[in-house]
Amino acid sequence: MNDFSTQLGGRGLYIQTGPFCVHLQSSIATVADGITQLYSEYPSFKEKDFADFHIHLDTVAGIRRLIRPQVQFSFDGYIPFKPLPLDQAFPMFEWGLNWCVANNIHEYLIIHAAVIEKNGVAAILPAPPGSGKSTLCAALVNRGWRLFSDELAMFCLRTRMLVPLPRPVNLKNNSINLIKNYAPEAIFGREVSDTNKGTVAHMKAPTESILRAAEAALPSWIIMPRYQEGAKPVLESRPKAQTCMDLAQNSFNYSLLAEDGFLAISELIDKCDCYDFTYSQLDDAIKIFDDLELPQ
Amino acid sequence: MPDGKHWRVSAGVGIIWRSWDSESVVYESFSGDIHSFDMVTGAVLKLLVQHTQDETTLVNSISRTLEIEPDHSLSLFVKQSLVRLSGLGLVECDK
Amino acid sequence: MSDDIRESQNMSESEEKTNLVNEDKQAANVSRRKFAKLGLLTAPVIMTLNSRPVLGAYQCTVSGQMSGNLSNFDSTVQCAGNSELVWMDASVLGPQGSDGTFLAHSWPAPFTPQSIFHNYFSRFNGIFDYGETATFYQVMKRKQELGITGDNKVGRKAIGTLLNIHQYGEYFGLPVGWAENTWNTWAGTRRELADFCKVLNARFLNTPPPI
Repeated sequence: MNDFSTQLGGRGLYIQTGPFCVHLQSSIATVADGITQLYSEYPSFKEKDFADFHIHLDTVAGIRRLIRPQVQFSFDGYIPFKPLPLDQAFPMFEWGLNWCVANNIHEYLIIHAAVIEKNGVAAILPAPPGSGKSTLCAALVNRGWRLFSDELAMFCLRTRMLVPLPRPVNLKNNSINLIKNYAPEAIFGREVSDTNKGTVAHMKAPTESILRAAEAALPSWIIMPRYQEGAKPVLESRPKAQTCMDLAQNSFNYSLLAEDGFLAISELIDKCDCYDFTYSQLDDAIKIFDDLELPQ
Repeated sequence: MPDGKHWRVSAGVGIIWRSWDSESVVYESFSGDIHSFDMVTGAVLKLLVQHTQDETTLVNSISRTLEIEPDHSLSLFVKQSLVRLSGLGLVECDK
Repeated sequence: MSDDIRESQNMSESEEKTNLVNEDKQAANVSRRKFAKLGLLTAPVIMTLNSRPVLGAYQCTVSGQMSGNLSNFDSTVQCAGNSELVWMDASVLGPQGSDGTFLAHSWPAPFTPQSIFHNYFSRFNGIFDYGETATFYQVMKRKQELGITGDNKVGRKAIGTLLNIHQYGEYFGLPVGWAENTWNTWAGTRRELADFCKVLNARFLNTPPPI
């Protein structure tokens, strides 16, 4: 494995994640550890002419260095968030980078959803937090599906295809051990406790999804997952008009994109079969997804 | 019973229409709002996009289009739809 | 394929005439459906999603401002979320059935307007007791439904916060369980909790109610 700590603490490291180049600088040890554990397979460079995002993660100066030290996230010189405890520096990088993409990239319709792909076609899994979206996504990508993203569905307005942004999958609390047991070969970063989400850990994106990050896919299914303890797996068609409204509600930038945003959302609805999916067992979910039929 | 008021799409309203099964979703380009409608309300708006109409004509047109008896229930529903659409600023009444 | 694409496909003039003739012949044999039997709801159903500014809400996730220290709260932060008025709006609730229920609501699962308030928020911690059977809808309507005026609207604010957490999660800035845990372990006064919830639920992008 490469050790990026020297580079990160100096002029920074340029990492290619899907369509975006991220220039990251940080002297914080846990950030370097996280990058080393989870990003070593990504194309990375010591120098590059251009980056989409210039990100700094720094310890907060002054007395905070000594008493309950904190980390500050800055993006292109702008500080969008209040600091977090220093221990949360690597999760802050992940969350902050998601924020950078969701708020600044508008040649895509960006939806709060997981996306997975198989055989050139992709499923969009929009879901509010607590629905088990990331857990389900982590399980599927360890059983033959390719990870596009566990958080941001990106529909390119020019090519009208879904574009991968394969980055570490953010898991919380019980889901961490659940997926560690379900996929013992998966690589995880350090568990970080006492965040706003509880205990979080990041699972490295599967190697294949990193290597194939330039391969887009056609959207074929929109599936709203809902974890329900003890439930039998049920996949039910859902009305397209309602799904259109739900997709818009879960889109970061449909308002900014105005008419183009609505046309993109309705095109996704046109092209996809739409379902509600209730489940309790991951193996049940895998079977249901593997048996999905292409839309007519 | 429907009265003789004439209704039309409000001035300045621009509508992009999408329909799936019996439900409609529209994007209103002036406000950027998105609305979804039940079958009858969608049909009311769609007819008014074509031209100004009075309630009686609307009820009869919807009756034909959706193959529903033009009874009191339908008339009441159309009236309520017009009130709701007016509240959204999508349609207005010729006084 | 959407209906409007099918509708836009052109027919030849002769095809159109043939269709009209067939339609006339069949008209006498077609009995139109009674509206009441169509299974439509008794009132128009319209859902509206208001246009809104670009969502800067992710900053709510990483801001750490919900560490519990109210003095750190930045009221200028704009997050995803709805006011209680929006959650109670007719377009979100849908029509009320004759049994008082709202079957077509858009509240996030597992909550419905009929959910029992004190199944989630303790009755016995001194904040407020709305009664064993009070539903979310009734607590939101307080005076009208339960005859209550002296609660500082704390229950209404708690429900609004709860729904926003479940609908918007990290984009509202709070984890699942936060609303219930805060209510159930609150050591302050009722008014202080209502103020706290008010501040939280004011962190929504300023969209007016749909109607």
